[in-house]
Amino acid sequence: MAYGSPPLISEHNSSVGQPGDWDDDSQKCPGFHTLELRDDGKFWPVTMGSYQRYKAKLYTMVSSIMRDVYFNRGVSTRELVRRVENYHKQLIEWERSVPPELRVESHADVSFEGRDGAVRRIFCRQAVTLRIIYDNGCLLLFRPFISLDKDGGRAATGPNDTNPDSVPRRFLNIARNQVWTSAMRASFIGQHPEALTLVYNSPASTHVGIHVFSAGVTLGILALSAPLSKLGRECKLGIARLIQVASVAMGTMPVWKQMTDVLTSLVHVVAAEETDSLIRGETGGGPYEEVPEVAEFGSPPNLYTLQEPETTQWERGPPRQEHQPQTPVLQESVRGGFERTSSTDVLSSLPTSFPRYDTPQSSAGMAQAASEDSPSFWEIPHMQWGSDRSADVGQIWMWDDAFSYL
Amino acid sequence: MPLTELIGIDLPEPNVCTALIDSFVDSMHWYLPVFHVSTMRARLDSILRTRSAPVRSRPFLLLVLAVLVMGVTWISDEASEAECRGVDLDELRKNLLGAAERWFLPSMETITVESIAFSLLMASLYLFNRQTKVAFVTMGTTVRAAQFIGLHQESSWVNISDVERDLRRRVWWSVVVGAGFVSPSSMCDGPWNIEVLT
Repeated sequence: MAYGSPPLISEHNSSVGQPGDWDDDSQKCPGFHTLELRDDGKFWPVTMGSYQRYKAKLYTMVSSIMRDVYFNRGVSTRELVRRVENYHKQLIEWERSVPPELRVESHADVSFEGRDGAVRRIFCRQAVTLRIIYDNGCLLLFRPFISLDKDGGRAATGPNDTNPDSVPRRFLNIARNQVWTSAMRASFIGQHPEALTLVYNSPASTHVGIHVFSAGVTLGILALSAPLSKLGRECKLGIARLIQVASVAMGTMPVWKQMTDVLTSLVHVVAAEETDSLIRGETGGGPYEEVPEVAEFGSPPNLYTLQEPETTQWERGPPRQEHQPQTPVLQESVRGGFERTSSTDVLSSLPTSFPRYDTPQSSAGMAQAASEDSPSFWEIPHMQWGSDRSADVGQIWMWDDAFSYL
Repeated sequence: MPLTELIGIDLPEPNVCTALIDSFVDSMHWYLPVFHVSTMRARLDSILRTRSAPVRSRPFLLLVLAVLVMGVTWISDEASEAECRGVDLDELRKNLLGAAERWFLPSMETITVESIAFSLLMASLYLFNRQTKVAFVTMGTTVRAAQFIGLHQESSWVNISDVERDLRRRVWWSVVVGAGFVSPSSMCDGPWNIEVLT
């Protein structure tokens, strides 16, 4: 996940049971009595050890996503959409199964003092990391669909579109809704400062930092697609929240400082694009004025159960042409779903490079780029992607379009 | 064999070791549980009394080194003041890490569950220290070492106790999580993109 490389471990070639509980992780969370269904088919109390089992299932799914979606070329777009949909359903099912002990909200406004507090601290850390990993997994799954319109011609033109390279519009809406939800939810992680502090003071801080960084970049891309809209504003606020989170954690791990620097520059780029849009006479509006709600972790919407009549499933009118506003179609089955209406193909202005973090001039370069006539987060001096994919900022590969599987 | 010959360094005083292991358990064990805590403490206590151990204990001692290094990294100010007064923790960390690194490759000559746990912790350490390339390669070594001894195939584990079985499961799944985050490419798996030779 961090390096964008094919996984070394295949779930098809490994067969190991889930670990049970030992004396060092058999404690239950004070005040909770939830049961967990384990691989032996029996229900057991949720304990500190449950986190390992939930995390293992999640990582197994993400590893499969990496292999079957990112490193498995030669299949049609429709087949890839089918795979992604299947993985999404599995992820949603996993999300619903997470017990309250392992949800961050369960540990808000509780004491972490004393013996019970020590146990709660562990559950709280586990809850934070689990949620972040999950949302990052969703971003990983749907990331290429964020910029789908940039590639042109991929969205299906209607129910009779038999082009194997087209992507159903309904699926695009699901993808964007999930991306929005996961990225925004990551930005709200700062609402639990005590929980975050517990994570900062642990090695998990690095992993969390890398995951939330991806959320920040996602929000940046969404903001750039509609900078004058309410959605764009919410995205900027989300990035700002992540910067605030990172600035608190900066002393703990270097990745947080990197994240702060990059996301700060990103906000400047978005602001510059906003200014340019105003100068061009754009006024925002359209369906981007409706900001989708962010589903609470553990309660995902039923995205795949409602059947829509074909007449509302597809975008009305002729295929989208450049510089023409589209008639927005809100998918009723996707709460708060949205369509892109901007006539400016912002995403096409994003080159495929990323800053090197060991270059002292990085921040200065980004500021300079942000002030240029065609501001772009990616058009920054001294960027070298291909030579060092193991650059300091994690998951950089997710934003290299050469890696898209579409 | 004295510890200095076995792993190239003597271990800190028992109270310091205890504090550092506590620090590790509090900060890391909930995230990557790669050993049984009370078993490790008991075994280490007996080694610290004599400052020596049999050669076969080397993988265990290397694991202890990695645990102690991480313990130093994450120890709280209060614990440091209370249990490690007078100890230069930065110097201690540097020395422990140096010993662990000197023994990393030789440890692969005799791969055990403990040496895999040691390798995994080293990979994690490098990642936390922003030594991403080293983490990348070390993680790959960890995965291959685990696969080499069949840690990925429970059906190959024969004549082991339930405790040992559960330990192996924990270590394997910790490797899966670690590899899922730091996953180098493999020459055997997955696609690569190289022009055909002409």
